[in-house]
Amino acid sequence: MIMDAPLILSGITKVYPGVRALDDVSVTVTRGRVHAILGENGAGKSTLVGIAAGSVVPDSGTIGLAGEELPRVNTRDARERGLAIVYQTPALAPSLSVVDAVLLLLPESKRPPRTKAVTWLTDHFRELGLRIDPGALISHLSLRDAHLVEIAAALASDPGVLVLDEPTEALGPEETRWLFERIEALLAAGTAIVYITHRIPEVVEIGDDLTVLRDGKVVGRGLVADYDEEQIVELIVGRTLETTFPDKRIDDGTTDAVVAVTDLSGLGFSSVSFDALPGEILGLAGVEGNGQRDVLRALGGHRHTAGTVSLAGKQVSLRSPRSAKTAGVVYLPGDRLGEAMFGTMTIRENVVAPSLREAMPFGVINRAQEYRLTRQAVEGLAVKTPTLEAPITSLSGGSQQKVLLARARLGNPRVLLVEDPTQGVDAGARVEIYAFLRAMAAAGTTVIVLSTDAVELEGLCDRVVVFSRGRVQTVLNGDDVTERAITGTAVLSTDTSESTTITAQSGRRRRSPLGPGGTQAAVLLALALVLSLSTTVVSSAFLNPLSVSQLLAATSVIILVGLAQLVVVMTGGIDLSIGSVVALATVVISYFGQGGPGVFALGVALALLAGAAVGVVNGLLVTRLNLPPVIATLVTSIAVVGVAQVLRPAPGGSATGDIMAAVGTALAGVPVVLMVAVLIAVGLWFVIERTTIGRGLRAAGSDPVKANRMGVDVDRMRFLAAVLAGVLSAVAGLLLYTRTGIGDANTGQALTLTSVTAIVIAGASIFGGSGSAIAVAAAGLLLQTITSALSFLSLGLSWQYWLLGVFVILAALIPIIVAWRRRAREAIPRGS
Amino acid sequence: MSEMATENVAQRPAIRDRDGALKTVLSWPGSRSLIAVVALFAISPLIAPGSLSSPALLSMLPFAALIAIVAVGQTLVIQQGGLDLSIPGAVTLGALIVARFGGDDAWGLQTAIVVAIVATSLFGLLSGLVIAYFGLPPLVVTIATNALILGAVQAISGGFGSQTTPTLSGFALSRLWGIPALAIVAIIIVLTVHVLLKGTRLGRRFELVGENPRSAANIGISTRGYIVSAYWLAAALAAAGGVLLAGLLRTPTLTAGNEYLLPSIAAVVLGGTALTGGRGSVVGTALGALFLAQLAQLVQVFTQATAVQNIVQALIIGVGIVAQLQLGGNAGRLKGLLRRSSTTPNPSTTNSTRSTT
Repeated sequence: MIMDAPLILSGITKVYPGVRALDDVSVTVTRGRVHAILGENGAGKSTLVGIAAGSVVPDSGTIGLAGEELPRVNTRDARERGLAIVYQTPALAPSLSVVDAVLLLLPESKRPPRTKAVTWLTDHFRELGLRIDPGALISHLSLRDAHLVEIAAALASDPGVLVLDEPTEALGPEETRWLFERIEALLAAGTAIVYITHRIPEVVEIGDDLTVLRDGKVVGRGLVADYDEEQIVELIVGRTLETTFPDKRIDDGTTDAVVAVTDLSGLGFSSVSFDALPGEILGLAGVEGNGQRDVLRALGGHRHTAGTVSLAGKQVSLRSPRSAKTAGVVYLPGDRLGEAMFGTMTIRENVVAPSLREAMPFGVINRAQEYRLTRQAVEGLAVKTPTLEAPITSLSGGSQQKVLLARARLGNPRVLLVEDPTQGVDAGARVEIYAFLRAMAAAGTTVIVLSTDAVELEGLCDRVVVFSRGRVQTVLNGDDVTERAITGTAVLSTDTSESTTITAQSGRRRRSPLGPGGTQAAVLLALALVLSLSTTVVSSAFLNPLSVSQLLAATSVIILVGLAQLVVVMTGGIDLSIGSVVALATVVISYFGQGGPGVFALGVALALLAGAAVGVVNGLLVTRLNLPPVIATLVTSIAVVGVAQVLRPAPGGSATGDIMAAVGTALAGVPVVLMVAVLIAVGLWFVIERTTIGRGLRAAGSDPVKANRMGVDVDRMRFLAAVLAGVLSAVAGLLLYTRTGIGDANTGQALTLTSVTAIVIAGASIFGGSGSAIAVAAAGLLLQTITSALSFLSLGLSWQYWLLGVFVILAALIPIIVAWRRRAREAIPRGS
Repeated sequence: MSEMATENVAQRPAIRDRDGALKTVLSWPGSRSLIAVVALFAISPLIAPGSLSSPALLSMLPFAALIAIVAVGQTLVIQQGGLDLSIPGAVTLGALIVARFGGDDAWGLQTAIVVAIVATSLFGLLSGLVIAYFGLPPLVVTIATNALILGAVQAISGGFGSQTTPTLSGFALSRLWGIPALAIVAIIIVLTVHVLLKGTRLGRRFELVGENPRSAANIGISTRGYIVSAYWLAAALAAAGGVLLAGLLRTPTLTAGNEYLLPSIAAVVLGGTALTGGRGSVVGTALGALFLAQLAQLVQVFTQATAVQNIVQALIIGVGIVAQLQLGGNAGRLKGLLRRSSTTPNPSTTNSTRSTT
């Protein structure tokens, strides 16, 4: 029996603030069968599979995987036990390459060695009939290709259970066909499939068993064959469609459009035209990623567009959300928490936020007026809260949406744009929200609704505009507005002429041929060379052997602090304690510089240990106590300097001549310390680019949530980075000591700034996720060359600060400006 | 079905405007810091007799005032979801300009004060513009700005500190009705900012933008102006703090501002303003500053070594920040501690799943 049920979820309950996402849900999945999990948006489907895959921790219940019952699993465990998952939005960290991402997604036993990985993946893609470049960056893939990569990785892992969460949302009809063939093959091999979808026809086509969820509870289960489509819809919605949705608008023969969109083009869509009649609810639909969302956002003032939009015959400007508001267009985004609500603020503050002119007519606060307006706005909407001073995030999803709708109504909009109006809303509140939208339409506001749920569009909308490949595919009207017609039109679209517009980007932008960061390193080295030569022209002493040797030795320190900062920034943090650790290390080693080599070696070990200890403290503060990295490292920075000052109140502890001579040796004019630094840089580069840990570090910084879903222990990576940074800073301190031969607690503070400068000009992403250790080494050389050149050019300390400051800002700005320009180019529609 | 919904509305108890007065007061972010300050003052005499004597208080208050003034600016930046690491430079530059050019033989004190504050604030303006218009991380930008300011400090000073005019140091040490003048200046600044933030449309919009700039933009608020002004005011207030510090120290060093970075952040956190931005409490920040100054005073009783003082203070500040962050921010946590320990959602997964369910 166990062998036949590779996945058994029993009694799963999961509560989020304000919503019971799952309530005592049990599902048994059988070998060789497709188990469809159905339900409306927010019914709990994705939470359920998240629990099975280990990315969500249940409050109670057990997960039976591969014959073992567990209270919880983590992502990696679930994968090793044969569960593969393809998420609704691909869970691939954007800064990884395709091959890195696939390697992270594979269970250990299926992972090819890194050296053969590219060939292996190319073969695997070819077998599957996919044309995706393994070297491309995830962030440059189209949504469709990212989905296909995730599916390919799942197939390669030869899973016992394959979970597919809305897999066909981003796929066209051919790819859907392709996927179904793969599913057939897996079923024949005995894999169990968990299939989540909105699309009833797909369930009827490939499903064997079904479980229907509503508001987190199982409301139906059985064999797919026992139900017809109407019955399935009724199970999902919980009542017949007639009682759920309000009556539609009665066609009064009006054809004078209130809203007229003509030839609208922008990023993701082109030549879009449609109109909306007074009192109408208009739906926007289509397979995800076909431009409908972009059009809605453009109407809300979020995209640069060409074309015209008229309200009641008058052309309006929708350049920005502000001008949209002036024109009477209110946009309610689907991402409520991220783009619509003011999370920790109260219901009152959220409701009056767009109407502050009415709430504070004289610019000063008037609480009574605010309460009056808030009550007026929420009138008739059953918002479940004890007081109007409750933070909006403490409400249930349904009540949150009601507060936002109340806020929209308060502004008396002419056009209301609503994205996914019932996402994360329970069934009871849905009915009220539908009624509310209908009432607003009846009162004269034109309501435009975008939804991924075709049943919802069928019940709510008078007409539905279906998008395909960034264009209007068709406009459904009256009795044609059915779930089948909406999904059918979207999926059966044969218009492939524009397909290049959507997918042209994939795979084109590869990493540098010189390896990651190679180009950057080459440019920085060239700059250092040019600067050295031009300085020599002014002051010929600059390139004499002694000064060059000093320059190179000093470079080693900058390289090390840069590397320390790099590992932390790569995981999305920042380390302000680097300079202090450098100082501490010089102080520690200065107590061991007067004895023999054995004593000195002991000192080296102790200094490294001290650095590691600071790293451990930083790591614990950040991962265990959730302190922001900047504050954690600032606190330790001050404490560490204090310790160094206590150890050596005044600079001292000169090293003996023997030791100085030994550590100061040079081979062919290159100081040994520089070689050490470069070796460490190369080693670190290898670890970051070529090992599982390196992929984990990059994924953690690139997108922690997606990294977690990929099976990366984000906290462990951050902790590791903090410790590594501590050790590398201590090495920097040791290298500094070999040059100065003295322990000084007050040295090194400026190195924290230098470390940030080094990684920024080395082209590491300051938002985390990428960066090349070799480029950091080159940046170190450039920075030290500048410092040395300045003194040869008789320019003071102030110039050094100014150059560092300007460098940081410019180097950080360049990638952003480049990205802007690229987007601006892409926003211009092709062929016009 | 919709009839049933309306029935529910009728049965449900009416929504009140707000909670009772006591609950409202307790929910203020400054309330916890007030309790902390009162507790610290209550135990001070037990730890160090005489630490509440009037000479002790009078020597502590000017430093509390300086931290408060600088930290008010940091509060504004943190409310915008940022962090200003250019505080040390701004304090130092403000102090340097007024010390070097404040003499009657140079620009005169009034001109020097105005130049010190306005010129330094331009660096804050630069940070704000770069952050608001290009979306660069505030940490990186303000680290760079701090370097630019330190360059200016080096260029102006030539590496040497200067001595302030007796007029300024006289003012800094003077008292009005027995209260140190600096404390009065700090109180005026704190109250002004508080009234602007909590009592005006401008202040409300400032908090909305800080809470969620994308939501604010979606409802038609132009967010950039608010972000820029936060950094600009932070630099101006830090410079003002520097001017007063110059008066207090007479000969400010070129690293005088370094000691104000951690306290400026610590005062904000202890004052109950969330590091994630949004609603802020400058009164709470001022109380946090008072707490830090009194703490420094107490530590000094035990050891004269600056290094040890730094260590102890860093430790206590760290503990304070952890305590405030773990307990504060959301009232739910506090309630959770009182009620039976319910299952807490895993923070790393809550966010990830909310958007997909």
